[in-house]
Amino acid sequence: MSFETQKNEIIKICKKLFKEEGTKVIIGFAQSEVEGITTPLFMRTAEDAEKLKWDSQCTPNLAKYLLEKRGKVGIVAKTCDARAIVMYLVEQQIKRDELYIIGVECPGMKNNDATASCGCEACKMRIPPIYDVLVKYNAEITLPDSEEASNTVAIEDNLKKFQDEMKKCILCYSCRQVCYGCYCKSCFVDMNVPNWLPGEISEGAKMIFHLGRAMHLAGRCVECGACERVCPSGVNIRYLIKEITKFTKELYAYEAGIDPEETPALAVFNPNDSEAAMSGSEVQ
Amino acid sequence: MSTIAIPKLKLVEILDKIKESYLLVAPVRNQGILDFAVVKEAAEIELSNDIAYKSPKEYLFPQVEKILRFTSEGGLTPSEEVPQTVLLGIKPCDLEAIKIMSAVFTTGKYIDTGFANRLEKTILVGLGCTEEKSACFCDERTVDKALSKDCDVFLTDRGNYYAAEIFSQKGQKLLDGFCLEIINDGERVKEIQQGLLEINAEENDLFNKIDWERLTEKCLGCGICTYICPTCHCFEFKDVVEKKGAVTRYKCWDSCMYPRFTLHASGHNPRESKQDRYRQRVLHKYLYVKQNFGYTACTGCGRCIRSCPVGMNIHSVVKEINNILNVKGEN
Amino acid sequence: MANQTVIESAGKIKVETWEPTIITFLCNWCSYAGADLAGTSRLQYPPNIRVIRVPCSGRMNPLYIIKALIEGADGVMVSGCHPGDCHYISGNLFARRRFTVLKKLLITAGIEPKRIYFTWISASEGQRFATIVNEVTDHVKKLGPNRIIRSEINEF
Repeated sequence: MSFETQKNEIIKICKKLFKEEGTKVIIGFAQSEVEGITTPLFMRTAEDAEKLKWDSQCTPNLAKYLLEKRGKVGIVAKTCDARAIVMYLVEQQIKRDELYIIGVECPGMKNNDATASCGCEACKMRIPPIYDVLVKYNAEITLPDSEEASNTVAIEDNLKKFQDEMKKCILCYSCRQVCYGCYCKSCFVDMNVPNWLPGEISEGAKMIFHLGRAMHLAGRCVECGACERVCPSGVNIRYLIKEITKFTKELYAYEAGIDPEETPALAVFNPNDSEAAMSGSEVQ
Repeated sequence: MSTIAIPKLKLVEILDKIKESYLLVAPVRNQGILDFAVVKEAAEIELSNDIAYKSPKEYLFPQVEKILRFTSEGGLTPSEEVPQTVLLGIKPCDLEAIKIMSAVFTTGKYIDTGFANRLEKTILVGLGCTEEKSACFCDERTVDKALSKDCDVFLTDRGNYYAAEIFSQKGQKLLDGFCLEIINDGERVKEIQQGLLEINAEENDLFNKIDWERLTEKCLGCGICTYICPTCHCFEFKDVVEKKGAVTRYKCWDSCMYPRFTLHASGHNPRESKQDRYRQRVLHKYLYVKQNFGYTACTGCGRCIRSCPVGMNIHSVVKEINNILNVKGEN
Repeated sequence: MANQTVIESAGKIKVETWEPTIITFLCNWCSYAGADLAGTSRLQYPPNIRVIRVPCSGRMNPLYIIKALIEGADGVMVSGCHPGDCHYISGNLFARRRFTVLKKLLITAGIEPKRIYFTWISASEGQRFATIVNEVTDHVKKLGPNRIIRSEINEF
């Protein structure tokens, strides 16, 4: 029942915000017309707040909508949404003083078949790293205990695995659109000059897109899993990004979306950085 | 024409035979995802009530098509040969979509030879649905989920056999030689249509009286709805210069949900914001194709609703538009 | 040139008289001058490298490397000034982090680590340049042609 109490609490906060703070819009979750699909909700009045939904299916990452909204905005943020918000603050995309974050302790989201949702299966962070008010879950949360198996396949199999995933991709770019971190005005794949992708939709084009995107997200991924959830063809592309996120964390002790004051790993340097990529030595 | 009974036990054998002389494309489940694919083993085909996540349009209108190739010495290479294809297991909603696409591509002044060629060489084998999936709304469009005559052969599941209704010479030829029993499947009663979902309004009203910004607030502009839609048919041409001065011209899918779709060389973009683009998509489906060809280009397959990452729902958007216009009209 | 990589329709690579192509990005201030010195000193090194001059190793867009490998280069080498010597003070130090992560990413995607070389060569190190090019070419030759299937046969 804890979702229910949390939901009532959030609704109470929203109503208070509209009344006392003059908030223009609060972004939250709602039930879509179709069962099993959660849709974003833009609340503008106290009545709208009644439509709010908060249960184990609130998977969408709402942070991306903040880029379009100006003025006093509120947002219902579970951990990954809040981590994305931290990254937007770090990258100076939004202003903290215009934002009211209703942090929600998240017990982990579920798919329709009750398995852990993509991104939640190994997430151990329950309390959002940034919030103005925190809504507690008030019940026991079981953390996922399984350490994810690291990438141990032989290098020959790595290429095969990557190519097999690429075969499924139809280059619709949905993963890019849904990703909090992909907000470039003009994406490198959309450019004509230089033309990064070959004209034909070949495996090479897909590889350049996914590797390029993964590189742009190096040290920035907040592991919300939106990219894999959205993919209509079921491309499991997150393993690439997960691997480098882990790598950046180990090597540069930086984790994205935790501290709004910290500079991302690839935007700074240390004179004594690892020479792991130099010729002769190998990255492990 | 006639109706033939295909026993389910013999189906794989028959399909394997067909596969010898045709390219067989049918729904195949790969890692839990049902999609149309070129069949390697007839046993892997899944003829069920489930609907493939993508429409089969790519076998008539490929995502990338080589149109021509020329070099500095001149010379055009005509497009590649199209194999004789059997497209199996198309649901009535997708058959309706193929009808609409043919109207766009093969009627009027300009004919898309690639599409026409493929359509001519493809035998369409339909398959009826017995129940609606979540988000389907074909009953509110003009589509009968159990039967469609816009194909060569139509299969209906009858327990231990499929009743195959043959509608054309092509279909007759496909099933000739299998010594199948002709049956009398009885007269079909078309299912009763519910309230028809359509937009009957002036374009001006739709532009001015609807708050498109609110309607499309949650859209991310990812364009997945257009990629999996059975009737979306926008494309662009791309000239790719190769190393030795040869140029290949490709015809590729495009999507009205992308900002670059209408971007002019000057930098001006007539459909700048996502509400403009989403409005275009809804009105193209429900108004413009109807004005030009007499069809509403939405068949109610529900794919865009099921696949949308943020739960945009064209069904409720159209309903809401009608509500707004009706209320405003009464005042 | 003697670059006769034949790609069979099945996607397998058949080697006849194969010579690797190694795309080499050199920074304008140190490594490019180092390569010049190697040339004026008449030092011998394999002709498999194709040099592209960039203003600074910090200018290296990771996409350059990704695109080179996927379009069919057998190896990629990047060289900049030694740490502390950068003409733009810290370009190479940013590049080092970026490159470490990129290398990890490419390994995860299945590209052999020895195809990608990152190194520091100063303007006075002509000999070092020749040695490193020798080393890189050796490694790439041992690995054989890049296994990523190219959409067409490229003739350089």
